[in-house]
Amino acid sequence: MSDMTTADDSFDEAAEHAFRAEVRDFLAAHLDPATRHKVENGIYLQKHDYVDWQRALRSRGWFGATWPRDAGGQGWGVRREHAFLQECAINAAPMLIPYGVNMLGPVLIAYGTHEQKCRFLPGILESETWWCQGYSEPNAGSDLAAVKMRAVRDGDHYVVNGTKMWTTEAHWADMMHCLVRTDASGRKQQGISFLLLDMKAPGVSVEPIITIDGIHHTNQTFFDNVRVPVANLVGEEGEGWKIAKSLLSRERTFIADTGNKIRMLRQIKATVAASVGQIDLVRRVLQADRLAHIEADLTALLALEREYLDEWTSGHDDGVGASVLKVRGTEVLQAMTEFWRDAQGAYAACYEASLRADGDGLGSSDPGVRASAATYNYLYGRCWSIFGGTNEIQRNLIAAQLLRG
Amino acid sequence: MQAQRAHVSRSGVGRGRGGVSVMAAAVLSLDAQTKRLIEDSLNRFVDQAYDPAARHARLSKPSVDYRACWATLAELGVLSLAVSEARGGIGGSALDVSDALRVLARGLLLEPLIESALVAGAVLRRGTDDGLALAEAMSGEVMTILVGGRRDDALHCHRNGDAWQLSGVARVVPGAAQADVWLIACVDEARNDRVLRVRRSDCAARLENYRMMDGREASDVHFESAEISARESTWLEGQAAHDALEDAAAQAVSAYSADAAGVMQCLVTWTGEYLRTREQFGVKLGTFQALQHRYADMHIAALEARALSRETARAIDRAEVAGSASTENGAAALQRLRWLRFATPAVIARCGTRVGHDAIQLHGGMGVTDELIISHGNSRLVVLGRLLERWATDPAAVEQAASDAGETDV
Repeated sequence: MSDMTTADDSFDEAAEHAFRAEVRDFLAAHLDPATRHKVENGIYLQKHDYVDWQRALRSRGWFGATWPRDAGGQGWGVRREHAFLQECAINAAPMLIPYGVNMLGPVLIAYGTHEQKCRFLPGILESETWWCQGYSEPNAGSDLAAVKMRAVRDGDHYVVNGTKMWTTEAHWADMMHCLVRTDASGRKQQGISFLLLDMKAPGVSVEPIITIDGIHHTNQTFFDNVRVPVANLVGEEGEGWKIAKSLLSRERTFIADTGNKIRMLRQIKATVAASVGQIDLVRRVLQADRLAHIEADLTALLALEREYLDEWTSGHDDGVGASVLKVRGTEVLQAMTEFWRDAQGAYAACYEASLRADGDGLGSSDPGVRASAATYNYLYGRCWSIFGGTNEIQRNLIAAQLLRG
Repeated sequence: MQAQRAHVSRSGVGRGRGGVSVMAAAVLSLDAQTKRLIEDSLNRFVDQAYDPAARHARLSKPSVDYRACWATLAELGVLSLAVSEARGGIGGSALDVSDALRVLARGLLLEPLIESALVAGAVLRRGTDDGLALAEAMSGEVMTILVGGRRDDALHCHRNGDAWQLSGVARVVPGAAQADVWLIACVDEARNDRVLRVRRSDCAARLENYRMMDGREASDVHFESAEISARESTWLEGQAAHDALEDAAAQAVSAYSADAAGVMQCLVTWTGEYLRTREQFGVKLGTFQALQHRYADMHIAALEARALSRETARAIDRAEVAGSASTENGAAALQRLRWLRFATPAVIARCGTRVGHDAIQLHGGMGVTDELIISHGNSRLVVLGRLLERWATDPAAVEQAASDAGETDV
């Protein structure tokens, strides 16, 4: 973003230390204990867990804090944002749902009209409006430029027909920001536009997609002659690809997702400690060695993330950092979750989605319940190397950048 | 060669204080301009003294001179980079040293630079002889090598009148046969750590020398009741010896990992050049996705290695600033360093294998020739990985250390 190098110049090491303590204090006082219990114990979070936490943060000025001050934010730089998100994740806060605050918000601030900003930004900041994203389609996954969903101008409206895939939490959403094709004649990157769409409009239907973990996170969404006011077009017609690229590149600050991994490592160690006496010495030594190597890889990931943050804040950019951190971050996560699965011993093969809907999860006295709360992470972990651009796409990008010329 | 030497001799470069740190006691480090000067002069040194063909020719002689560039390294200030200004050095931080070693890595140096200037250097710096030994080491007149002190070294001494009687063997000690002086790390009858300093010619040790995979020489150093004058050899004992050896181990891990990260970066660069130019089936190799992906993974591994190596150097600098282990900060910094002494060798071994083997594989037949530098880069990575492992934290202590890592310094 534009403020990457300029904002928050005063956020040095001592300031970061103090700020992290401040965040921890806030978490201790304002994170709903019931929500914290769920995250600590691997229980499925409900919509209200996210909304309540986001509103608590908003009351402190810490939701949308990377936005510029005149848009209602705090103008945080990447270091402060990174420290904040990491500290929240370590201390068992729910993730911030990015579709509104991290994705649409900056897009509207950069490309939206005054009227669009007034209409949509407050709802994002107050968590009144739940946004979802509509990018992928059945034949446009990693190849996002291939989107086909048509938007045809009809007076003051676009008439939208088509379908979107992997519309995560669309079943909770009030609005969707999406890429539509307004012109099919030129290069496929051209003719794409960025449109805001009311999920309650006639002609919108949401069909659940149950993922590998047996849970309804995501959907396929269908659009049948949905009428969208032209006022909901962001930027110019045909600017959608440019907007989408700027939006996706913002995620690099926290793409390595190290806070969650640090917390998960703690949870994994608790599993290992609780299993003392249940496995023989040889397996224990092998297990300790495997975990130590995984933790070493996490230490390396943290170091890598730190080097990139240093580079980005000093204005250097090798252009592949987000891809590097995405590939390595997901590989480390998958190694952790596979270990955690195996650490369930006899129960490593067990998983039942309903067992982590509520209750004590990892803290349960029932080993089957504990196992499900852990093995869920293994199953869902397989998604990470696919969404957000598969790891193979990331490797393409890295090689393309390095082998140029 | 003359022109380059002028740049970064100890007296030649004013040393500025590095970017102001906010911590109460800041790490003293070189300023950006000084670092650039050093980097430039080291690059020129590698270009001139370490042309791959010349290196190859040097290694092909019946008797290899492993000290050929020692005087030059002294004049360039490399031997005094880690020594404080107050003691006549250049005053680089561990991070400065790490950054310099990654530049030198391209040469696949044959001199025992890390073993002498940094590992033995860490023990020399803690000595109590008014800096005489350190000065001799920095000037390049006297090459000192630490014998013992690693996980698998078992050297014992016991007092016999005016002499220490040494027994035991230290295996595969790089540079032992080139050294003028040995620092011998051993344990006495009361199980106290001791470091003895002795001229190699005054010590009746039996050496078995052989080459390592990267062409350098290492020795098994056998002490069979060798007698050393106690009065002349005492260097450090007890806690001071223990602390010095811990420091030497940290320096070894930081320096070897920096060397490895530098070699990895070179192999990635050279492999990239090959993929961009070499044609098969009428197209450039780099157009094949299978090769692109392996190349991307090499790149990621090299970046990981560099990041963790630099993190280790920073941890050394922080431990130095934090001071005594009896303070909370000091204890945390040492704990962090102990964890990195496991984590860094482990990650370097994984990344080095990935980068070294794929550099060979992507070069195809040329990758396995002795002529091309690629295979030598891999051999160096193998050697560094094995040497690192011997300085790594003992596995039994890792579990304990690991339980607190991740909490610190994220």
